Amino acid sequence: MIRLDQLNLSYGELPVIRELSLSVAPGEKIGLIGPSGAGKSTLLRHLAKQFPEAAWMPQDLALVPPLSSFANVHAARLDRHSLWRNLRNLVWPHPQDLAEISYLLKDLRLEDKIRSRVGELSGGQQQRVALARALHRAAPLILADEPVSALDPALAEICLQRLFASSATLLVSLHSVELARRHASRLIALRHGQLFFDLPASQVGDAALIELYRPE
Amino acid sequence: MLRASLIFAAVAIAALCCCDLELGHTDPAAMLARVGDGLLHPDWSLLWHDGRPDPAILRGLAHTLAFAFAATALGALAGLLLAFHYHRPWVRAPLALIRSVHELFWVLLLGPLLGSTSQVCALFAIALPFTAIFAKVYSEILEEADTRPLQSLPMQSGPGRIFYVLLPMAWNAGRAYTAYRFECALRASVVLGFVGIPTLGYHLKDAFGDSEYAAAAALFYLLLALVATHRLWIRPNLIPLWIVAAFLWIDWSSSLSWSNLTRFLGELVPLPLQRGEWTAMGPWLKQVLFAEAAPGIANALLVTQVSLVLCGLLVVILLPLALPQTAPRPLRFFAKSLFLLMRCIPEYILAFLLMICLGPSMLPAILTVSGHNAGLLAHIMANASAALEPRNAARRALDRYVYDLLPRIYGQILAFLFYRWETMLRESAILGVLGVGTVGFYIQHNIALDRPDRAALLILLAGFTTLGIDLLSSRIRRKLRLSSDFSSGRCGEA
Repeated sequence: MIRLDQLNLSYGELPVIRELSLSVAPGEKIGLIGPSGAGKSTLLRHLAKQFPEAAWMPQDLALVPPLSSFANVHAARLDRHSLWRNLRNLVWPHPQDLAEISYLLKDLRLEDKIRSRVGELSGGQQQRVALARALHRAAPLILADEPVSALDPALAEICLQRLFASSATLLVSLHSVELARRHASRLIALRHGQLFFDLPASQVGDAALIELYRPE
Repeated sequence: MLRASLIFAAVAIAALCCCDLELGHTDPAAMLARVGDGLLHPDWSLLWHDGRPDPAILRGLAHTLAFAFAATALGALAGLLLAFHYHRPWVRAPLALIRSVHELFWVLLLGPLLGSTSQVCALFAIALPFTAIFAKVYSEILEEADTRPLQSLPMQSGPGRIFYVLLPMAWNAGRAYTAYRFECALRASVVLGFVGIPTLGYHLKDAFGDSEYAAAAALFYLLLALVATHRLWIRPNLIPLWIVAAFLWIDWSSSLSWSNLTRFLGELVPLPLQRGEWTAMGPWLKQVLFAEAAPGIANALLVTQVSLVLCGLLVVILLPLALPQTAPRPLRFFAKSLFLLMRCIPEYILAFLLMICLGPSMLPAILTVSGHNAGLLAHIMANASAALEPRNAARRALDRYVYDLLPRIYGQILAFLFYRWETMLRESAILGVLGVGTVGFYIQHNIALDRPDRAALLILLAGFTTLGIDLLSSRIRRKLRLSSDFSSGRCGEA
């Protein structure tokens, strides 16, 4: 599904990803970990450009604040409906679309905010709207950059469960190693823009993690 | 920036020497006293008698509102559609020309086609240039809108992207600008009364014409109140209702017909060509270009250059009176009221008033153009700079202003002045209709003598001059690296 061969990425003059090679099979659930500045976001942004058909949830969420949660989530399927239905949904949502999206938002504990303007929601609520949009896209590949960073532990758990229950191939960067180990089946660790380890989640030991996050 | 300011100041001083500033009126003090007396003792009986409002004035009020609402709605809608194609040269160029012709000239130009006092003529005279301005500004707003959400949308979203990302993301800036434009439409609608459209301006002109200054003052206060308070009585959710009411109110009958259209277009062709007298073309061109266009445009440029610098000077002087960092609260209130007053009076009416007092020279034109724009700019700058933290602990307010605040906002003031430059030229040009020797004078003169061919060429030339100033202004702004991203500054565009 994804195959990277000796990938180099730089931010201006500054090299961010160096000689990264990896391949991802369809249906794999991958957690992307590593210290801040390791190049996780850069890698995900690069993949989002390479695979425009993927559902992409960036760290800054990229929501449309003046629109409702419903409209923001529905936007993920604009290509599957007629223009007329899309326009109608801005004013008077179609019952079928409304039911589908409210079911999804219920999983993320956000069903009561379905009609709220996204700009008026809290950071954690906005993050769940963005996550719902990525899930609603029903794409074969979901790329998510820190999807639960603004959520409390209980909500983060619930939302990650929902995300990893998806049948899509997943590549999710996470700050919390615990969450990554528990939900992902395979962990890819980056340090200084290079592959540090690439192991099944069950084989990642504490020693490797201490080494990964060791300060300079 | 300082060098550019000095160059412009020098040009203004040179222009001032060429200006006709003579007081045309034999006794301006007495005239001022009579108008002032009227303003102090307004005669409300014109508006309200026998216990109810005067029906003619009420109709004038309804017309004023109807034209403003309908023209803004039409202009905003058409402008939005065009904004998506504004990057194409064949859209951009004609719109730039349409924009450069003032609403008053549009009435004069469209009059023979649609009926010179018909309501359709008034509506289109405002809606046409507004469409062109909306197209330009909306396209800028759409360009600046944050489009990151598009990355998270499916590629084949089609026009849905416009409604789900572009328009919502541009909504706030677009709404603010449209609200400002409506205020301009209200002023324009009033002013059209001066060329025979039955809005409030029509009654105002009548009252002044009959030297009934007390009655004129009452009308003047009414329209000031109308413009100054419009944000209070327009509730956002009632706007559709207002627009529908406006379209129902407007009388759509006009003299538009196929034969009228061909005749109208035929009359815009230079008269010698209409008659097939090719040899007469030379003298015709010579007359229009040298005896009318050249002095008219030159005078408009003189007024503009002096007004531009005077406006900047007024803002720099008046601004500290309205800033919390430099002025006590009562003074700020007074200064802000003054700014509001300066921007609320339609330029044309202010010039008309000043001309009654001072006689027809460039002096009232300069005072009007600089005063109106200074009110607008000072109002915007006062709001934009109120939150600036003083970085300098000077004890005297004036020191804080000159050494700290002014240097930080001067670039913005300059950017705005350059932004308004072309508008000032448009304003200077139309003030000719009141008798100043700018190009508007010659245009109206030709219309009055039923020579639409000459008027059309003059309007075209004035439009091209405005375009030239627009290009020059954006070049200077780029060279001085004056940012154009002052969102409130855009509201200064008229």
